[in-house]
Amino acid sequence: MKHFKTLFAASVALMMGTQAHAWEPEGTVEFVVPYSAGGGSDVNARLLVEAWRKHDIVDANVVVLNKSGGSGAVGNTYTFSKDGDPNTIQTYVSGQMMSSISNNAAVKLEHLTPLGTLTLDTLLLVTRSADDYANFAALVEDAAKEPNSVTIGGVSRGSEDHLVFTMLNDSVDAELQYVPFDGGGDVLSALLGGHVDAAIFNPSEIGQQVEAGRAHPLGAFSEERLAAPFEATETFGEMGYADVAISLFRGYVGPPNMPAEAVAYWENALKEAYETETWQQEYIADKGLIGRFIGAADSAEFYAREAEKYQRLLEAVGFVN
Amino acid sequence: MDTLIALQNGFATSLSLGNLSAALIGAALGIIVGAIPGLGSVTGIALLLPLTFGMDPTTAVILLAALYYGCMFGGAYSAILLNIPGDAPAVMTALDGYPMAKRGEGGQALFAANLASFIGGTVGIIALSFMGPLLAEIGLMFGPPETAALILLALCSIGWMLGDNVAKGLIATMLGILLAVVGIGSTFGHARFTGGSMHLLNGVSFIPLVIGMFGFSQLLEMMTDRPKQGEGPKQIPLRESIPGRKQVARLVPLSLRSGLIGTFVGILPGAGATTGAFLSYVFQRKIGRNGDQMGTGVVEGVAASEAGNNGAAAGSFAPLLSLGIPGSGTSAVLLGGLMMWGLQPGPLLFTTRPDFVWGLISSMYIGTVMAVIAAMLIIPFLMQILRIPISVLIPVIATVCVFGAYSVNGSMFDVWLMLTVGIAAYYLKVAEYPIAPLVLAFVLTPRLESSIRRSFDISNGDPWIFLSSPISVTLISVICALVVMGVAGAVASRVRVRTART
Repeated sequence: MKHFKTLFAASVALMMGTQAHAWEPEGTVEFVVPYSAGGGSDVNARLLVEAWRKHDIVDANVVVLNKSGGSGAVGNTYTFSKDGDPNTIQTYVSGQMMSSISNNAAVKLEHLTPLGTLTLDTLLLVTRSADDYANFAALVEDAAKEPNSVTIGGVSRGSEDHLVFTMLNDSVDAELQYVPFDGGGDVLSALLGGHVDAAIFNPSEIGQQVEAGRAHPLGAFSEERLAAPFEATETFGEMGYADVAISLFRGYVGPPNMPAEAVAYWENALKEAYETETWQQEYIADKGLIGRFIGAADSAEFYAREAEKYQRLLEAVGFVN
Repeated sequence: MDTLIALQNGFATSLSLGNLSAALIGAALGIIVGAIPGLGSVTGIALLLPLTFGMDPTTAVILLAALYYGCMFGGAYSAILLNIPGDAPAVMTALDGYPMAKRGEGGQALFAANLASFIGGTVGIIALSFMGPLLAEIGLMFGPPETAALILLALCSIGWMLGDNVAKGLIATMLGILLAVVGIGSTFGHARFTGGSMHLLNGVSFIPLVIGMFGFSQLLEMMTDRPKQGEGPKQIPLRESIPGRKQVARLVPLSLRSGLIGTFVGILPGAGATTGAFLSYVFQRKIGRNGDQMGTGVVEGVAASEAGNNGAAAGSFAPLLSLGIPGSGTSAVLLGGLMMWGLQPGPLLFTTRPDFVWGLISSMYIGTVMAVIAAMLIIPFLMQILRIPISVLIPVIATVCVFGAYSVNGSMFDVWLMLTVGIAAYYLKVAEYPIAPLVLAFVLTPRLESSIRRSFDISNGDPWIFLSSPISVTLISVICALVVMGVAGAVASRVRVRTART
């Protein structure tokens, strides 16, 4: 009888073993955000986790971990140190890739494992109120009086914010001054407190403030006009600065040597989240973004191509040589 | 008046049986999470957040707010009982709390800590209810130069205020600054002083450092310098530990004052509960009746620190609710919760979703009351820890130290780090260098560095930016006065010693 029990238990275990489908995360998953809380990447990660939970896509407990500093290098390095771990994922945005190129950081794109891309995004130049600067021309006029007197806040040095700043600075007849902060929340405090004259934000970071009349957009770094509340905001292209535009991606990576079945799991989780109403409505539509799902392999290729493009752009503006 | 009506509506939703029990459960959990070194309110709320998804938003937020308050109460316990601050703000609590426990007055310290936490937290919540948006606007006045000046003030006062020997205090502060610059610099993204080690790229982790500096070095002290069997201090029993009317009267005014200081520091972007607790403590030491005894184990020290950090915890909600800017790690996690419930945090939250905002604020009142009730029930059990013989306590603390250091990043490197700094701290203590300035400087330095760097970016290298606003001028004048007074005091006492000799 005892033997029979053991045998039975063993066969049940065996059946369960063979029945077990693809890999699934166990325990706690760390979702690394390499920027401080309240910024664009943080909002993105927290909403993604919400979509996963609400629609039962990921059963494991996913904890968002803010590892800010070093223009994203601190978070990249942290994820890099989790070599082969299937339970660590990280937000990966173009700015992070860019700063790893311009700072020649130890951890670059080729050290991480791309899992997928969900959104394309852009940037805006914003001031505190129309009383400060009614439009971009007024800001340039003021800046022309004294070099480096008009300050523009953004996240990190050598980042996408810094790049668009440099592109803009190079095409106006004035010297603007860039002030790097640790995260979007810090830039917002500085702008609302009047410690910088203008600042660069993602549309999702500043939409609420614009609606509340606490911020005034001066121009969009996009190819086309953005949706509400930015429908009246001119693009820099419209203002005559033809090449001052940027298209940013928001993707996700894992540590180096992440097992193939884990990559497949997370790619699928991203795809399913992308199709949910939560994601489409509360993220893409509410925040005026451009939604696009790009799988793991295609993202790897896409990122590599973008990395080359940034290298070229950064060399052109003199960040790297 | 509108505020009172809104608050009343908030209470109407939050005072149901289900919500009250959610508050009690949250408070009890929070106390446990807060008391375990290595786990803090950020981790606690992050772990509990997924469980609240099926709940009604108001119930969920009440549970989380109560957990947050419980953590603030519980953080003091390990600081008082084991000399291991559960988180950075509790460093100041350990300074007086642990010496009290060693003298057998641990129960008194625990009750004083909770009373002060309750008063400080309530002061903060009242300020948040009536002046939340205004406070957030005041917080915005602190730009990079003002923040730099405030942190510099804290750093300067550390050396002068803690310990008896100013030179040793300053050396300890410098050591803390040096440890804090290890790792990838926040401004340029370059690695500094890592010696090529992967583990040090992220900098020295705070929890292993604080556990080593306080807990493990304490353990070494116990082992080398333990009292003979049966010679431990006489424990003051529970009945006498409960603060009487006289003691309450002594603690209330200072808790109110510290709570206000804490609340004010809490609303500033990035200053945090540690600065709040520290400045309350320093202020109390300067103006309090027996300020000169603080640091040797007096209830005033415990109360000032606890009231200060609870005030700051409440204050950090002001920028979150009125502007959508998270003021602390914990409010950042709650920001995630807000979005989960379909709310858009931002300046419009007060007008678009008053039901939620006032539900949250009223739940803070409930959370802090529940935390104080839960704490009163738990303290008698905690006091049993004080009766554990030292031979049993030593291995227990050793386990807690190793486990706490390991649990943060799941890394053995942190355990070795904890042991190394523990041994180093032991020798520093033997040489009579104070440890608290080192740990506080470690916490404050990164923010100081980035604020200074940013100020120079804004002014294009012009140092006058630090004297360009009334706030920073005031702060820098206070710093100068402190330094001059300190030097003058030292010279005067030396002259006095000399004249006495001749």
